[in-house]
Amino acid sequence: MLNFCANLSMLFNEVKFIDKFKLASENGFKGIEYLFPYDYSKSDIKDQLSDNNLSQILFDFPAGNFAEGERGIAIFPERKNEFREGVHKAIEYATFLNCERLTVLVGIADGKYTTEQYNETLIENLLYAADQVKNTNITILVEALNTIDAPNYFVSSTSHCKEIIKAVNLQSVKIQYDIYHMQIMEGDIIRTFENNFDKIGHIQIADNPGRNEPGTGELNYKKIFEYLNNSDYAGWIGCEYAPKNNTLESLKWIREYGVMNA
Amino acid sequence: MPKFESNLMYMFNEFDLIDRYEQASLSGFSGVELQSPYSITIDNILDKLDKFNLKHIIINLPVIDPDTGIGNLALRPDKKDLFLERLDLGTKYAKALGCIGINTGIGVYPSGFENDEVYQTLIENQKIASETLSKCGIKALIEPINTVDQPDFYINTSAQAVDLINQIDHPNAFLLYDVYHMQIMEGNLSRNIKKLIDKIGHIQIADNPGRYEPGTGEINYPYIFSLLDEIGYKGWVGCEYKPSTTTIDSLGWIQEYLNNYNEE
Repeated sequence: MLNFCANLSMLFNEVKFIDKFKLASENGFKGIEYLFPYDYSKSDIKDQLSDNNLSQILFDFPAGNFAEGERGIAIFPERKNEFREGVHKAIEYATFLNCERLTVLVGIADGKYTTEQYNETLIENLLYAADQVKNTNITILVEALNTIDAPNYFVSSTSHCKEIIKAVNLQSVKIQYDIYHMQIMEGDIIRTFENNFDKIGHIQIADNPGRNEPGTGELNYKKIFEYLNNSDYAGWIGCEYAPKNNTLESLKWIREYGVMNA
Repeated sequence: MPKFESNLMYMFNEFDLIDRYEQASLSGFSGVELQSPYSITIDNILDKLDKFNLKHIIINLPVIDPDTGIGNLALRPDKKDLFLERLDLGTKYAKALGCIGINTGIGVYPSGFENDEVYQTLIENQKIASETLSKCGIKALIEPINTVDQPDFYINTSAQAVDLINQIDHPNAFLLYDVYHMQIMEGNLSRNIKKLIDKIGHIQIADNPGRYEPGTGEINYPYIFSLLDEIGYKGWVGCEYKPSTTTIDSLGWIQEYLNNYNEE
């Protein structure tokens, strides 16, 4: 059986953020993830988690002005201080919420620096973040995004993710493998997972095209889950999709596929 | 409803090649494709097509280099004459069998030549193939192939194939979009099929990983087939997969489509 967590940035948008925890729990989820907790107090979130018997699986480091289109700041040499402040803030929240995974969105290349400079900055920032979590059980994840939704996002393939992870060379820094993004950028989902099993710390899903729930697009998620279920993957799978109609209806696949750890 | 045809190299391997035509027909197919029909005479194949009411949709050009055993004559700067001989043979078969297209075969990079020389040779050969085949109403098909199964294959992505087609610059040069190869090399199937539909002359399918029948892997084929209907694809879909079991048992997925098609 597989551990699915609800992504509260994309699911249950029918209600306010703070009310989503209850709905996730009522719909059978044992874990939740979202982009950012920073607009809310740590204790309010902790209350929601404990009231609804949920684990906080993952959230992202502060990633710049997300609403204005920024998708991370980790590649920009002139924003290293801002990145470091974000690391401290994220770890403070993660420690309080018992969250074991923090994702780095790397940023949209603005053309001011060379590829080497962006890479170097990213690696330096990851090493700093890894050093800050070295006495915790937190894993740092690097996520590749597709460049149709996020043009010029700097890391857009599994191979680039691997390059970065290899350069950092620490067990605490892994890949967040988002199947939706990678189906757009490279395909070959099951083989890629199989070849990089030991480097993948978290999985996210959505179908393509559309980023809606499994079953709405070109991926056979039933088979992908069957494969993951037979693999040694013990991590979580984040349901980070836009419900096609509404969230409750979009959750039918979980019951139909019968793959969620109850 | 896509028109499905059966690849006789991959399917019905339980039977001798010549007997696979009958088996395809018995299983409900009205079309077949076969990479290399050249070991059988044209008359023998025509006899089977007629007897079992089948259309021969595509064949491949015979591009195996007799000196190396490698199927890359289209890329060899030193063997352009032999390529033309093979083009004549392929054209003769395709014309007699009534094929809609020929997979012109590209092959693996020939060692010992400069890339530019190889690419110019390919363009030149493809220009001649497109022109020769257009006179017979047969499409010249260009198929990118994945590098997991065939390392060093020269054209691996739809973008490379489209670049090549643009270089060939002939209205009879078309893309053979093999969903299996493209899922391995680039993903994003629906978006690419939509984008490339005007250049697609033929489609082939298999699931990934494994190259088995639809339903065995990561591709949601019912969705892809609906998409082909929605965008008005009128061509054939070649079932070029290895049955994961016997060929007959591997055909569960297609029954719904074949039944509907035969009723139309």
